[in-house]
Amino acid sequence: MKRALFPWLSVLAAVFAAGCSNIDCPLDNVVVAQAGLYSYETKKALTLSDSLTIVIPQTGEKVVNRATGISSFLFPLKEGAGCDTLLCRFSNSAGQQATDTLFLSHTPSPHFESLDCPPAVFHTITAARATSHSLGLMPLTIDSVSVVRSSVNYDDIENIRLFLRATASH
Amino acid sequence: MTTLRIFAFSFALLLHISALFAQTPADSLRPAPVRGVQYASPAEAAAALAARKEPFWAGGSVSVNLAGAVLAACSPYGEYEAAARLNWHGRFFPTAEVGLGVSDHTNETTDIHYKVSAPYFRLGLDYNVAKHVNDAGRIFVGLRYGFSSFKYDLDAPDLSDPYYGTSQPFRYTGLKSTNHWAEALFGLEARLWGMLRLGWSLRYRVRLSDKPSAVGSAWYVPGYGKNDTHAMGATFQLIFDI
Repeated sequence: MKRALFPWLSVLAAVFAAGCSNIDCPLDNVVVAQAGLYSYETKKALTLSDSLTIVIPQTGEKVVNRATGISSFLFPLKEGAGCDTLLCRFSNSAGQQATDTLFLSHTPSPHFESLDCPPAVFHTITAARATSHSLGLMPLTIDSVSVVRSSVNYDDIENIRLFLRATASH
Repeated sequence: MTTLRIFAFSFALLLHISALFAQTPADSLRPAPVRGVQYASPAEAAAALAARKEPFWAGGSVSVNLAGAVLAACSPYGEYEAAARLNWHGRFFPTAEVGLGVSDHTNETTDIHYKVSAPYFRLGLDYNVAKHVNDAGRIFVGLRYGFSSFKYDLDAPDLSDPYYGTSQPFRYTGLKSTNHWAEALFGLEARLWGMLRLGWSLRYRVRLSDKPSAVGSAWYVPGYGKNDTHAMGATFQLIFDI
């Protein structure tokens, strides 16, 4: 009897061992870059009191729409290679508004996580720069940009820092 | 008078002969001649078998993994695997396993297609922890080192970028990857008939290194399973003693 049971128990053990499965995909599987807002004067994190709108000029898509009270924002990078252009429009309650342009050069790298997970494109930021407007138009402008973490992937970690200036630079 | 003596002698002779034949029943077999060593009881025979020492080179075996072949036919991935092993003293079993890991699978949710057909190799040692090495059954614990260097194909629907309105193809062939891993196993094995045995093993695998391709780590590694830091596996083996 024991001998007759052995092969069947063996098959059952093999089937049970092979039957387990799970979904291999991170909960956050969207690739976006993160920009932190910093004060040019104090070099510390800044909470925006004015409103900020960020537009992709090629398509007119708004990545950030009249956001206020924020200290950082997320934005996508183009899946193809090249230099992305983002229009950063500042406005305040006094009706003043002005637009700075942010340029980001990056190298895309296609990424495969698992069959359960949609394919994605990771990026490596190679350079970042921005234009500044006159403080007479709007008393807040981008002074400079620095890259703090060049890898853009599933981790929502600060990649660039925008230093905002409210006073005339020396 | 002479006739009477002859008759009496013949009668006595017949009686004697019939008495001789009467000792062995006519319908029974003669006892078989003794061959080898016979023991008074089964317990005594078992004790003698247990006391027998196996030689250093106690044979070898080859085997095929039936579970891997079934998985290859019925699941997203599987292996066609054969193994050869030596038997040292009935305790130690140096083993080499060679297989072909196959997968040709499309995920129904993401439409990503993964295809690989590549060899893998494992080397290791099993130790028979059964009390008596001469028993028909064996209980194994063992270790393996596994290795596979392989190429795979990957394709998925084009990536569409909703913000920039662009589309990128995602099709790659001949992506290269290399993996090394270690395995700890537990297994049972029993003699089925003559030189034929059946056995199974459960295996816990730990990835030692993973060299990813240009687009990331492979999904399935031949001989290892799903490419994670650790994996479980099982074999169901048909074994031929040689």
